[in-house]
Amino acid sequence: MIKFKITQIAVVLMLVFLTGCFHSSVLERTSISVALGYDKMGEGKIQTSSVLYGPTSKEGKESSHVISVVGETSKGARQNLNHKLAFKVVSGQIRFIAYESELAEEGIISIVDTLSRDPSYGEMMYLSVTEKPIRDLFAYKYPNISNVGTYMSRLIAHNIQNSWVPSCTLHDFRNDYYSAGKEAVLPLVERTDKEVNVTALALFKKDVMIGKMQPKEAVYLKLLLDRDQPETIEVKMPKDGMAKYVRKVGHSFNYIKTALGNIGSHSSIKLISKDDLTFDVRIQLNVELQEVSEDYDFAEQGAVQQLETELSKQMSKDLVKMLNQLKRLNSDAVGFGEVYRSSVRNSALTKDKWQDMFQKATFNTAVHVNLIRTGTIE
Amino acid sequence: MDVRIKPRPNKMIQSFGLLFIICNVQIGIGVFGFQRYIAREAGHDAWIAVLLAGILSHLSGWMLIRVLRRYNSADLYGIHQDLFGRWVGGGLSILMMLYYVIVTVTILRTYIEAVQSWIFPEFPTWLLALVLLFLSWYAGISGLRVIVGVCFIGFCVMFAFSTLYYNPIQFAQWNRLLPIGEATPYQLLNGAVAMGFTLSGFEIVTYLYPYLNDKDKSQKYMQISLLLTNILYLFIIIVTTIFFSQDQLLRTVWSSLNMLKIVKYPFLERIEVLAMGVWMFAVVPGIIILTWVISRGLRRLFNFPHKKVLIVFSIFIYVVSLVFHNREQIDLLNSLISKVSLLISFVYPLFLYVTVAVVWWWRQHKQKKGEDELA
Repeated sequence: MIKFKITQIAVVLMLVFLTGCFHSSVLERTSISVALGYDKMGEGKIQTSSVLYGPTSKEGKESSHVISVVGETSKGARQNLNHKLAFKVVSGQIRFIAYESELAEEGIISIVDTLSRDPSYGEMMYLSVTEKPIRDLFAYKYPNISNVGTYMSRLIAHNIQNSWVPSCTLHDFRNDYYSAGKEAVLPLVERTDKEVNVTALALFKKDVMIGKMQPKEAVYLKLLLDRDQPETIEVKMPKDGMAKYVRKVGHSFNYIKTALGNIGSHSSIKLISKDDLTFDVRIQLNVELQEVSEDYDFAEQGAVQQLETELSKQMSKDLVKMLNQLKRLNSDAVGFGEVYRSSVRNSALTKDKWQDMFQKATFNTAVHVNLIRTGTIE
Repeated sequence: MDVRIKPRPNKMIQSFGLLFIICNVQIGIGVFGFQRYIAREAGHDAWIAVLLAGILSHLSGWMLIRVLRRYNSADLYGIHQDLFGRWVGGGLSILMMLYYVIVTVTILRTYIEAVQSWIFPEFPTWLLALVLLFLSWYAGISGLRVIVGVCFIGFCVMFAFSTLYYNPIQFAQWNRLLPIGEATPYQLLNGAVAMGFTLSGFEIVTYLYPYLNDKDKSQKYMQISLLLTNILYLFIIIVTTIFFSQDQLLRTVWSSLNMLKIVKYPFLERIEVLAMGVWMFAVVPGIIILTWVISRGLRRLFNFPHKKVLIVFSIFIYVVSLVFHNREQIDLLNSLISKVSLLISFVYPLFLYVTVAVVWWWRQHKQKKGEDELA
């Protein structure tokens, strides 16, 4: 019995004292990196900038500081960060990674794969592209942003959830890059004066950035892509058939602009002819009207129906515009190739093969808007 | 050595215990990265290959139990002696034991390798091997009932953690499974072969059978445990296929862990690190059972005392597992063992089934003839 007790005590003591014997990371003795940026520096050199947690001020406001180093490889540059820091850099808290567009135009897959190779990085960090050097975005002293690294990740996260930015995590990028029939998209971020914002989408062909897509079109891309749907959609359409429902106002107008709240949408893509590569693209939208630019009379007979048809017509047009842009740049960000691969037997589709085929694809689009309500007033 | 063994009743276990033991031997470290080997052969139809291999494992398990039923209370060491005589049978038994030594080393080393690449790159191999083998020795000397208990914990851990794979489903693209059946039968067969090592291990029942209390229920629990394993593997391969794009999967070494990288809770951001550690509960039972089987064999063949053999033998495995240095060697070990395991788990039961049927028929025939002559 006594012997048994000694064993038990020994085990408990071991658990207490030996835990943490191995490889501990004390919070105060690490430099926690929260964001990374890669700039191109001359021939084959990469400048890595890192946003690090700084000491918390007395008022409890968090701070950050930025350091940049140059290296031959991204990982090498990151190692060089240690030369400028009192503590070892740890990367488990990195949430945001940005690439300068000059770098993105040459291909970034090797840097992206490096991130995925290292298990200390998360798979859910956001990637994005900047047009100006990232150092400029990170190092600027923003009056209202205490830590630009965490701010950027929150900015992207909520834009993915509520707005037109498609999901752009490390996993998404690699997923698209390695699939035969879909190309990656990343958001473009920029500093404009004292704030940062998401300005457009960077379209990719393999891992090379080949163009931009403006928010107006990006909404439609997002409608076709994600689980998360944009919350509001702005549509501008010619007044045509709706003019008669508008109560007379003093000024003359040619367009009616509306803002729609999206309360549930569904999209489907079907391949209807594998020889002509014709796709059927359908979007079904349930919306509520949030704003209309003219004094539209909803009480009148047929007014709502007219608005619905006009909206559907206009949105279908805009959708085609977006798809044509993708075709022109030859970047299948929607994933028509995946639809093709999954509907045609033994297609043996590869990325190169699909890039040739995508040029010839044609689309039948149909958007059906269902105006559920017009807010709390008519 | 007697062909049949009569264990004392206080050492026996219920057939119900097979459920935990078989699942644990089958699902170990392999579940972390088996997907890409199958996807390499069968592409997005990998799940069909898994299904195919699963059905074969049911058949194989059924044949094993049929063979054991005939002998009523014998283990494979006894059956070998009965069928092939003392020398050939003993030789076969020793080969089997050697195979289990290599499997134990493979499991141990693969787990350590995974821990080193995911959590602690500098973690010394010898330390972790020592800890794991100490655990397995400690459970091993306590007898089969304790082993079943450990297996139960492992079982709970495995099935609890598989519920986490609900998360990757949210990121799924279901059309990755289409078109169904694009792979040729040959590719599917290759995929099923690649699945062999992952599914193997259930033949362990041939050593446990004498210790079962209610032997008439053994077939039932054998099939249920095989079914549970197959459902788990099928579930994971489907989730993997819809989560990764094909090329991405082929590049991912531990796809199951990679899928957990997206699970995020406010209080726990990186659950795969936790999974890696807790998975020790699923890996250790496998090692425990295998070492138990080998030490049983040494006891049966050479009459070595179980407890002493276990410690000598744990040291032996410890030394062997330190020989391997990099992933290349471990991969080599894995691919070598995967082919042998296919033979032992799928081909050998069939061989045994047929041999036993023939031999028993022959004996009955002779006996009858003798009786006829007497009459």
